[in-house]
Amino acid sequence: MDPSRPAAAPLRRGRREATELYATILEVVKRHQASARITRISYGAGMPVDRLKVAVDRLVALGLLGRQEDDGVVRYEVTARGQSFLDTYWKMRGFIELFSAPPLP
Amino acid sequence: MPTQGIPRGGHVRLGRLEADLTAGPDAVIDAEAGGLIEVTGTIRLKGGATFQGSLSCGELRAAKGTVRVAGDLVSRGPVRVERGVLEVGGRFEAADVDVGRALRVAGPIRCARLEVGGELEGRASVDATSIVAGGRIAIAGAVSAREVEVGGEAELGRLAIGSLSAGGRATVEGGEVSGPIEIGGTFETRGALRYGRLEVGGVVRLGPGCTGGEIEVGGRLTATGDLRADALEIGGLGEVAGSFAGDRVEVGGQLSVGGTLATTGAVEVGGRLRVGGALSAGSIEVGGEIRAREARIAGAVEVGGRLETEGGLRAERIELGRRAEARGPIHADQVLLRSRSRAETVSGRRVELEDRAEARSIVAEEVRLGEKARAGEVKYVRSIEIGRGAVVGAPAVQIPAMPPVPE
Repeated sequence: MDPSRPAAAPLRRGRREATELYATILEVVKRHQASARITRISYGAGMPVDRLKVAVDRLVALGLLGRQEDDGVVRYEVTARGQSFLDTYWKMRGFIELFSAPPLP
Repeated sequence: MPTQGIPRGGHVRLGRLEADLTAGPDAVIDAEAGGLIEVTGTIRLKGGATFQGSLSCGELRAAKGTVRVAGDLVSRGPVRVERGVLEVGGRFEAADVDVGRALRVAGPIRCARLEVGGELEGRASVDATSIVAGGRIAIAGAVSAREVEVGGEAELGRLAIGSLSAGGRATVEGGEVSGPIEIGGTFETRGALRYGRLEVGGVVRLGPGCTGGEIEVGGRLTATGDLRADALEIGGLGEVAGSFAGDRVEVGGQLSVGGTLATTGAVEVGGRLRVGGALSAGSIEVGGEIRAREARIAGAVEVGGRLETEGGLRAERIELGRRAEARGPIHADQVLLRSRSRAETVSGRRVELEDRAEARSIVAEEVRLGEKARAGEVKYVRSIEIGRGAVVGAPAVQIPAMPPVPE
């Protein structure tokens, strides 16, 4: 068994869309307050480290995650742009919920 | 302090050990008579380990694997399981707790900071300074903490906490969150909840008797009973089965209240407002439709579409938008029926109908009928102004004073 693969995938519910995946990663990183390491993020997001690294690198490249290295330990934090993405993402999910919900009586 | 070692896969029996304990992966430690394994120093585990009894220690550190404690786990110092799982069959007490993958505890948890990278599952209560999990928190019993934060989902029992933040979804039994609740997706409370502020991106479902400060919801709010909030801001739809009381309401789409709706400030609804009981507010602005048993508004009312009040609407100022329609009597200091709008019984100090507007009956001190406006009957105290082509069904009657307005 690949030791980098999390035993449990607490947030997985079927296939996730890319935006949902990015939002999940950002929400997990946010909880660790600028000290999120890749293994911790993988446990929270329910993703294997190798697949997570690709997504995290993309988030860093897009400026949604910040990356800091201290004594060889890499830690991530959500940037202001990342928080802005999250705010927009959840707002959009709110609108989608409206369209899918039945109208009020 | 001396150290006792257990090799990989070793199986030993321990009672009280006044030393540190180091164990290789997959060690099994049985308890001596009494069922308690007591290590006064630090326990260092290189991999998974199983303690067949209750465990008391100075500190517990594990690198990875699954650490199982069959009974209680009490640590005077911190407990840290870097990249593994900790399972406790009884109660769990420690200073700071930091577990990488998952923490599962059958009994109550009591500690300072509690941090789990993946999943925290507590089948009883949790009392901690702060609770943080990257993935999911499920606590069946009461939760007491200054803050609870989770990246994904939280399912919590009765709360006595300072703040709650979840990325995806949170479901709680009820209780009190003295500060903010910030949820990205969905928030649900089954029972009554007192809260400081509630901010949810998607959907909120509230049990009966929730009270607190400002509520801000991006999508939809449903309350199964009464709701009290300083302010209610909903991007889309709101449905309160009981009554709502607060300072102000702002809803982008529709709001339905089964009982009464009472605010001291403004009620602004983009679409439809439906109130089963009485409606009272500082002012009202509704783009679409208002339906209420009766409405008493301290300030201005603006309706873009349709107004329907069985018991009537009283306000300081009423403005019916172009082509709008009012059913039920309306009374205000100033009433303005915009072009092509229609009303039944209208009364007030000054009533004005713009061009082609219609009213069945008007009683006012001053009346102005615009071009081609129509009125069934008009009673006025001081003046009447009839525009070109305006029609009054019966001859307008001047009266000495305004009749009293029925309560």
